[in-house]
Amino acid sequence: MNPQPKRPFRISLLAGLGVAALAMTAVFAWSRVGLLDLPSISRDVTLEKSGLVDLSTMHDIDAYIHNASDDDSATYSASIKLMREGIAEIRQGHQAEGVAMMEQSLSDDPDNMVLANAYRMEIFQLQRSFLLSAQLAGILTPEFPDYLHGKPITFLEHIQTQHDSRETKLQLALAWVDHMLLFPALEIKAPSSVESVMLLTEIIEQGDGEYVPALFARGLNYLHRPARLVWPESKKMPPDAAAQDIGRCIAIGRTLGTGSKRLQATLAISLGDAYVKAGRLGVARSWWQIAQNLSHEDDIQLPVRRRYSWGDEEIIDRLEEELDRARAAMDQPMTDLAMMWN
Amino acid sequence: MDKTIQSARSPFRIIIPSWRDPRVMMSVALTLWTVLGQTTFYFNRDLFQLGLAVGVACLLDMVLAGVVMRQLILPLSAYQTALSIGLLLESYDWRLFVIAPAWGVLSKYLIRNSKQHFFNPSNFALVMALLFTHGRATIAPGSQWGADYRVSVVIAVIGLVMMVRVKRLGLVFAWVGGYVFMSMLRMAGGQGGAVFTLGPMTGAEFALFTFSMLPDPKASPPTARGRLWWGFSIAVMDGVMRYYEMRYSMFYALFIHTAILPIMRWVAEKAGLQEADPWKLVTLSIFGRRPVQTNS
Amino acid sequence: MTIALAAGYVWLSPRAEKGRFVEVSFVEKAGDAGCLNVHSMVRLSDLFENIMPWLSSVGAAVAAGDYNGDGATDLYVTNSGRGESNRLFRNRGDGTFEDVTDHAGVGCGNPEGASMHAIWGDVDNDGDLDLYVVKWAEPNTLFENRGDGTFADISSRAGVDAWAYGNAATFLDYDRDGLLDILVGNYFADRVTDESTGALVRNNLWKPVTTRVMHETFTHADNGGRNILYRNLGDGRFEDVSEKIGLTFTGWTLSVGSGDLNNDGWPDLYLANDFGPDEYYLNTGATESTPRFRLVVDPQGHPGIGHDWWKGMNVDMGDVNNDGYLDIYVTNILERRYKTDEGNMLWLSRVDPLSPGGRGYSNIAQLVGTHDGGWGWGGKFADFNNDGLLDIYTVNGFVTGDASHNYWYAIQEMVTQTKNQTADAADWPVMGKRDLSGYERGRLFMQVESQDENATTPAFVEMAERAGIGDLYNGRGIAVGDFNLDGWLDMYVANQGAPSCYYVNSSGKPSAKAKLHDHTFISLDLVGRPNQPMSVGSRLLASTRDAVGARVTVITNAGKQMREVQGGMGFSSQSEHAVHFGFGKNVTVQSLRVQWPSGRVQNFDAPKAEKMRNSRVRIVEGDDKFTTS
Repeated sequence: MNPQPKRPFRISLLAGLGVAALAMTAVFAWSRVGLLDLPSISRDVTLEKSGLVDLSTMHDIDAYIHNASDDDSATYSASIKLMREGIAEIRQGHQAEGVAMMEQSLSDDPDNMVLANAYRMEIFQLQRSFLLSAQLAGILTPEFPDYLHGKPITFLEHIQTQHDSRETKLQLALAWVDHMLLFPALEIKAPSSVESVMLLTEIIEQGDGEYVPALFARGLNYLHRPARLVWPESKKMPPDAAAQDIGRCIAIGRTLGTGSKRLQATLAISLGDAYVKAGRLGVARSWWQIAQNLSHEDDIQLPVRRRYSWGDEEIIDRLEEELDRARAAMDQPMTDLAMMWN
Repeated sequence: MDKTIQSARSPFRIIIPSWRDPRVMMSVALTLWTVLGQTTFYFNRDLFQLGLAVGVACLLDMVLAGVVMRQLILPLSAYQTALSIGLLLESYDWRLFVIAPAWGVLSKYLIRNSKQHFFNPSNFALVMALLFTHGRATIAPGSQWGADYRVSVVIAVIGLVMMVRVKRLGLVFAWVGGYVFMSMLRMAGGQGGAVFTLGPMTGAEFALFTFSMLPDPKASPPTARGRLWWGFSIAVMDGVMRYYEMRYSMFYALFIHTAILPIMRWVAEKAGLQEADPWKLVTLSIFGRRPVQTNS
Repeated sequence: MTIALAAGYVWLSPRAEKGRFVEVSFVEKAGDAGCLNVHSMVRLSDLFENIMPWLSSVGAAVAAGDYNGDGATDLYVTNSGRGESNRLFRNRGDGTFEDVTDHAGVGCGNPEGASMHAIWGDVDNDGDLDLYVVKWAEPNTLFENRGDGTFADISSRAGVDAWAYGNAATFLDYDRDGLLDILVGNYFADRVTDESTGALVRNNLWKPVTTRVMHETFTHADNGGRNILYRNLGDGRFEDVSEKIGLTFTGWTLSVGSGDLNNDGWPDLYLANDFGPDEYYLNTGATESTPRFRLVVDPQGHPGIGHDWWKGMNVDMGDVNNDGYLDIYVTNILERRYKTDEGNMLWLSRVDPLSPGGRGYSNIAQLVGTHDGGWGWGGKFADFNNDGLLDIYTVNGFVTGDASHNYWYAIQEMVTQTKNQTADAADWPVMGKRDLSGYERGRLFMQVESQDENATTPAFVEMAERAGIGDLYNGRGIAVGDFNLDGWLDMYVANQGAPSCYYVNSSGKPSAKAKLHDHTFISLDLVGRPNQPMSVGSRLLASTRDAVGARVTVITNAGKQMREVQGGMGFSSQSEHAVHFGFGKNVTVQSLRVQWPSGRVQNFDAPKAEKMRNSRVRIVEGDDKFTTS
């Protein structure tokens, strides 16, 4: 036998094995890297651009305006003090006056996120209790009183036309979501979601592509749209629209190194949910695991454990139910921006 | 030329086909047709059935080559057989896509005459499937190249180029010419108009038969003149069958011809003739003359 | 090799179905019951003589509806021959009928074209059923029910008198405004190119300007008729909104159906097309204030819901696996030795977040044994043995001729050709007396309890013959209904060019071989209140008087069942209006919920639901009380 063919054969066998090993490693690596499929963020993103600046100040202001009994310190602006008074009036049962004060306060300082958020949340709770009492009284088509009629959308629209900024647009977009939360029918939710997304998209595409509140709000809009809703061709969105937006938020947070563990965990859960809707169950579960590792608080751990218990067959239906429940949590509506600074 | 690598320790020879092996081009062409069919041409083939056919055929071919011929091969022929079956055979029963490729590959090993097979494996598989599976198999009309005649033209051009490469252009022309001739006869016989009789030429079934089954080198005569007669003869038989409304006539005609190939070869051997010349034997004896002896 | 061949042969030989047997039986009684109609076939111009059997083999339709409000479902059947009258059979109340066509004035008579299909629906919400007759080459006719047993032709005033080649129609309320709209599916195009002048002229198959009227291919033909959606404007008039709402494909539509396929409350559409892919549209009403239909396409741009074999003849919707989502049955063609692709299709609805509407469909027909329907036509879901599981009855057979000479060879040769070669009828070989899948027996697919506890797909057993259904006629339309009011669903089958069959369900009779006394039923007749709309945002949603689209869900200790009120579904078919539930042995009803198209939801608890057992119940929208009989 000619021994010559031995060596070429061995070499090619080894080469083949080497290639195979490399290929397998690459596949494995991709499958791991692909998990953290986060979009890339430009290096020059700043806290200011992302809207995540001064979070602790916001926390303080928020605490101040909600506690009328505290010392009336002089360090806050007139508009903040006016908001505090307005809220106090509402607590004392003078709704119309309180609402007027809040609106005046916001007119004076339209870009103040804390004031706008407080205004929206007060209106939300007022409308909610009005609707509840109407329901108990058996009134089929309740009409809001003048001070609540069309609010907060009409007022925030007015503010936004007077003072067009990303903050005012954001609040208006969130007001549409408030409207969606208050009324159960799909046929009301869907157009509200469309309005909201339109405004948020304006913010994002007109130069504020890293503004986290808008990105997160839009991502949540997409996430909460029930899968069974049928959108016309012009308004349809890709299945991973929510995942894109929420993923972006997380990427920005990581680049800037900001955001509490709790906030990060909340976002991670939402990103997992978004991946479920995009049909990528493996990735979804990995993100839920990340959330679980980030924060040990009950209101993170319990939702994650619930999600883990869902089998593949039922996962979409269970998720939709969970999202329905989240929208129905009226005591602390999802649109309450306080979660950013608390 | 295929490269053969023999390992001193292993009892096998490993056969690696060279790039110039015509089967490589054929396999690429068939793969392209399959992929296009699934994505743009609405072939609607069930990928599971296709995959099953390919898997069964290739595996069986490799196993049999290993066992019978002590060779480790790249199963290109089996791959071609499987794709042809997958593209043409139609059934709601997945088991057919195990049996037909198996039959096709087995025929290559088990039905031989002086060390070579004479049936085209896909043709054998299809005919056996049509005859022996209780009516569950049909040849797929499917969607013919997306129902666009321009695609037929492109396929025809590509097919003809390939025939030049494998030196079977004459055979194909004889077959196509014969088909047209028989269509004229059928029209004269009142079976239908020009559109009805010539129409099938524009379809995928005709193209696949003409360019992948018919020119199989093992299943056709080795000389150019022989192949001309061969192609024409198949066309005549096919035409007669079509006139009598036998469906799948092309496949039956080729099958019958390849079935008598060993007889023709034997006759040729006995008479010392070239393989092409058995036809002469038949025609001359019809016209009452004795064959001329030639040296082989 | 012989061994290999023999092994394969044996492996594939058909096995007798292992003794699964379901108790169900029928007795054919059309003659005795007085509802026998021998369908007369249409005859087109002599220019089409070569394929006249092919072209004239549709038109036998039946529509069931209680036009006189006496609680017993009546029957309207079509005849397609020139000068032949359609017939209205009034149910005497006990499952026997009398022909009242002349008195009612709904004969039509086919003076120029041919009747092909009909549907009952209350278009003016005045409490009685009006009748819409769909035809070839004649204006479609809308008969208004005067309430006294007679009808008035209001077609042209209403604007629904399309001159086209209709084979399919259904009533639906696509915008949920409480007014019944009409969807018409057309087969042949209504205009063709006159070869001598090049102009587009009316396609009249009795006085043709060309024989180039056939489908351009057998698989992707889009030179068929334009489908029409008439929106009811409420003042006796309709508006053609087809283009506005997205219905633009001109396929060869044979059957249309409407139902809420994705459970968003808005009725969606499924159109079964011959010679091309089916169309599946989702209603955008939940997201747009003017609802439109969005065509669902797969990532390659092909319309439809999966591998479709392009010969769709029938649509019916029903929740076959009791998961609360509607599934779809489409009939197709299966013929051993000639065409063995998929056959009939049972599209089971499943979750699919990547598809519009969140639902995707898998064809499980072959898996569960409902795919072999021959050359299928009408197919309906119904619970024939009252066991809580939906069964399927499908009719079949195309052209009955000389069995020793069939036309299959010619068809298959034509199918192998590319576009435009089959469009001219003159190119088709002569059919003469040839048979084309005639002599086929109907198929009764009875759903059986799955052996496997964890099974999520249903299982069926075919038993038409054993149940007493043995006719070899070429069936077209099926009307399912409890015509003799005994709690068991019967069937009326319209056969092409042949006597109709009236199969009375005898499963519940003690004397019959079936013994199913412990199976019970509830039959619900829902009546909507269009003048009591619900306000949703800026919109007002209301139910039509017929409550088409209303959904009833019954929860029992054995699971749940869901039915939706239909406006006429199935090829050449309309079944009775009431929704029927069957309950097997030891099944207790825990609750019953009605979801009205207006958005109202009514729940009936266990005691109330139990009262409904074994009766025909009438529920009026918003009323907690109901009447039983």
